[in-house]
Amino acid sequence: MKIKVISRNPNTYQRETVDKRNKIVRNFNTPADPFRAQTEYTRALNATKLERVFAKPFVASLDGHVDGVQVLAKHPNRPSTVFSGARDGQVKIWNLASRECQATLDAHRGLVNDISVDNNNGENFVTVGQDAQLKYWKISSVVESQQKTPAHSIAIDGIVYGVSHLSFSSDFVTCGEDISVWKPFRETPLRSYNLGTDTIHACRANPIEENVIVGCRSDRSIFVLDTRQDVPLKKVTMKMRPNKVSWNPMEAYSFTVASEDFSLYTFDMRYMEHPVQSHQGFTSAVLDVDYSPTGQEFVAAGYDRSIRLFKARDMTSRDVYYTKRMASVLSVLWSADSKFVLSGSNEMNIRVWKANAAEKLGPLTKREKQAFAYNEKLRETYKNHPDVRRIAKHRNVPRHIFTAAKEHKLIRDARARRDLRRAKAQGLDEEESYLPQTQKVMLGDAEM
Amino acid sequence: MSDDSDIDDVAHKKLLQSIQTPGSVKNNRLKKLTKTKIDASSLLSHITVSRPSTNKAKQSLGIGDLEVTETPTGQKGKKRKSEASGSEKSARKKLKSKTLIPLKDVEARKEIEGKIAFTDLKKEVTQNWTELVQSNRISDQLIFPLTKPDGVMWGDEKTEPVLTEKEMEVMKATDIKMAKERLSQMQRMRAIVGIQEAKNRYMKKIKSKGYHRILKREKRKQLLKEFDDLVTRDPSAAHEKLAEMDLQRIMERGSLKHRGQNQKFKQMLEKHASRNPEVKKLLDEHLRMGRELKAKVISSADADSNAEAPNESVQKKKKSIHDLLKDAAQEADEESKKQIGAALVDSFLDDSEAQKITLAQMRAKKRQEAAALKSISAITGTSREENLFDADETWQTDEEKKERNKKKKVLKAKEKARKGTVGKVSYVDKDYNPKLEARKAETFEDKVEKAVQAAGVHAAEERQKEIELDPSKFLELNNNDLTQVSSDFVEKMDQFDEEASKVINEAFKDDDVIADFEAQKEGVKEKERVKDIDLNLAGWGSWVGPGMTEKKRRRNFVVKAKEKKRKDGERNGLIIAESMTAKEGIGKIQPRSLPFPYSRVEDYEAVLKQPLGLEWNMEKMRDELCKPAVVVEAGRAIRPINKKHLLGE
Repeated sequence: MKIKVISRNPNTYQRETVDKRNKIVRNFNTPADPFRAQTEYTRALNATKLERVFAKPFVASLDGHVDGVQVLAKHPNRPSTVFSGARDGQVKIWNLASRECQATLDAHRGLVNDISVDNNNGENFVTVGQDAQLKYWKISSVVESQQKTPAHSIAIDGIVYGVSHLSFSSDFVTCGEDISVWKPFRETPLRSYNLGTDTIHACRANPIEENVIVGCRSDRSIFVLDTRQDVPLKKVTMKMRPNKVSWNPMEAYSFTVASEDFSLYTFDMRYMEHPVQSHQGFTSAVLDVDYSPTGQEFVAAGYDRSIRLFKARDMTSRDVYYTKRMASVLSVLWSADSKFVLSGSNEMNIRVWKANAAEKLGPLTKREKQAFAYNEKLRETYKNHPDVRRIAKHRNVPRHIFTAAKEHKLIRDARARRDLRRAKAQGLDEEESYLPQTQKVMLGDAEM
Repeated sequence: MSDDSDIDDVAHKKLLQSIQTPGSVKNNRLKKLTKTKIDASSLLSHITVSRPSTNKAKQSLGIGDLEVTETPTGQKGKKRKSEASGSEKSARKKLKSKTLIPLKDVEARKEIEGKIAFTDLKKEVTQNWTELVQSNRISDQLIFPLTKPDGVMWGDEKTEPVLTEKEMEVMKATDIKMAKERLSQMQRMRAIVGIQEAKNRYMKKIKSKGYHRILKREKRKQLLKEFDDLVTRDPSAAHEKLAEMDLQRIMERGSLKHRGQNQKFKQMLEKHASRNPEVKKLLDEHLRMGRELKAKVISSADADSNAEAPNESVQKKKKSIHDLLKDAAQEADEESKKQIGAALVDSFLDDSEAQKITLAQMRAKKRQEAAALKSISAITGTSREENLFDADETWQTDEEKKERNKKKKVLKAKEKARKGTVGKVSYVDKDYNPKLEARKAETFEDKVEKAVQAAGVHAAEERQKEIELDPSKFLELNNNDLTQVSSDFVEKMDQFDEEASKVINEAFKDDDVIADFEAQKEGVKEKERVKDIDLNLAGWGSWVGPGMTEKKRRRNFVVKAKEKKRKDGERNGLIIAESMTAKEGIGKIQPRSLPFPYSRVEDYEAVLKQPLGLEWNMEKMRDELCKPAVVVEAGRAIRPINKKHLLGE
């Protein structure tokens, strides 16, 4: 029997190599696609729309506190461990992965002012409270053996308002009537700095430079301290009270201050005369701020019952999160793996949000990853096109925020007009008289 | 208890002392105060800035003269403290009876110290971090953690069961032993296999014919020996063996091995032909020759075998297309006795011309037939229908017609002379000689005429054919040089033109260009008209139900749009689309100003022009272009920059 078969010479379709790989045919001089731009623009628009469609940031609520959540703290190297302190003196340790409370401690009488976790080995944490006590806890004993007593406790003369561990160290610094540097399990501080009669209500140790501390005083001033020196190095005073401060963990000299004047200000520690950037968008006082561990973004808590996410060098917020029942947010935290944001509010809840509202959680296939990366890049590339921008920027905000923002804009505009009018009366023109927001917020500067 | 008594003793002593010397209380208090102020005074001596207030303070403390010796060492921050403590003693003596330092000066000292320390810190921080921070800020992609991860993943937080040292040791020991054993075993195996393989390969590769001959001979000998053995022992088995041997031989013979193809040729074909074109050529030639030779043998064999076959069949193979045509023509001539055959015969003279003529003839004929068919199918109307294009006959006399034909011929001939092309054909030969071509055309034209007339095609049909030509042709006719044409011909031409235009109108009566354009314009107008805004809500503000028509109230909720004057207005044949202006059209979706990081429009455009998708990029390139700005691993803690890691290494 004769069987006819098709046979091809392998030379026509194989490369001249030992391992007989097939040739890849490609045209290196393909003509330009005339509809490329249109196609990609449409895709960018659709990607932007989809991003808004999928923007569901709320993940979970951790409830268990019976008073407003005053403070949140993260563990330096365990991303799922989070500490929260309430206004009734209760401290809770949470596991984010399982959303369970691992331990509840009645740590203080009166509210818990601050919590800080050991930066060296992550075994211990310190709480300070309104009852002028500093308590030193061992995490393992608290979580595993449910021991309810601290490993060490110190009564201090004045109320301690803040505590923060030095970078990669077990030493910590407290602030209140003065600034003190402590070693664990010691009755007295290593060093104390008396900065005057004003209360120091917030302090943060630099996460990179182990000797540098920044703090805020109730005379509306911000100061920088070097623990190697005897005296505070620099002090600048703002027009409104700085509430909290947070260092950028990737930039040794940048920190951001949450201010009472509805804005945040990023300072360069080396040039403190003016902030480098102002961050606007809140319609009420900003109570807390925390940087993402990547140093690219930060989250801020507002008295106006919302939290806002900012890019570290942008003036306007990237996103705003709120829920119907969330009261004014007292504390805020960016998780150690930079994927989540936590907010502790006055109505006793800790809420967990996604850092990127439209991000898909869980493992992704390669194709998904590629598609998301492509869409992201498209959005980034076409973000200045009016339609894309409109969709990307639009946020539905609660009525009180909307109206307040409108009103504030009105006030701002009126002030700007007034300033311009006055400047013109003095013979200055628009260019000369213009002062950016950052130049107006420090004491001794032009009138706001 | 004993401690308490001690303290009491001291207090008691003091008390006694104070009683004994009444003025000493004051002295003591002063002493105590000055003791606390010693630090300040000693530090004050470091102030290098000359200020009236500080100078005064220094003078009052009596350390003005000390300053001269201290200033060179006073600059250094670290030594300052020890220096100060050293100078403390010397200063103490003089301080005893002095007054307090003003607080203002202490503040001033602190301020200055702070300033110096701040500049130091600033310098240090700038030196250490500026470069890193700047590079991070502008980098395309940041992958976190920046250094090796020192955090724990989600869920991994519970420490793994820790083995004791002994356990670890045991495990390690066993592990290594086993591994070594396995390794050695595998090595041995691999060596054996490798040697065997190499041997086989070597044997296989031996090309020597001599070796193979010897091998074969040995095998044959072996076989023969066996055969001989069998013959003596078991003749029947030997017979079988013989048959088997024969079968083997036949099998081998039948296999492709002995087909006689040259091994060398094959190898060349495999190795070189695909790469070297010259070799390929050579081989192709070789093959062709071979095939030819083979073919010749076959044909001769055919001829030999079919020697008695009729002549025709032999010649059939050699016949060209011309011959075929000729034959066909002859047959046709015989069959129909018509002139078409003759025309076909003429085709030998000039191939292309003849073909064209025959073509023309055939078409004419076909058309005629079609007309005939029509007339048959439609009985009454046909006569008129048929004469759709012959309407001119009603007002034209035969003479005129003839004359017109004649003129037309002349004209046609001229045209041919000018263009060098024929009829519908519009190509121009490469070696085109106008004069020669003109002559040719004339003869050709005559031939066409002759042939057509001979074929019995009516003049009407001919005209019809003319009319059915491409309208562009008629336009060309008008373009001819009119000076060369006689006046009465021009008259006729006018008539002809009218006729032609009629025909064209007839042909294109369905497509009304102007009306189409107007419709399009209306469409654009309608599209761009500002529309009324209807604020009516269904079911609101009116009663509904059968018989309810409340149009008047509804009109109140319609916001009338303002009339807008169009740019193209009443101008005919013009559309100015207003949706295409910068504000309305594409401008609506394009950025109006240059966004922030860009300083030139070209740069921004270049970024937008870069295709990102897979349709325009290879996959790797796409991944490179679309890489995310920040990469973080879910569940992996990111720690701040570790100064010791970065600066220590």
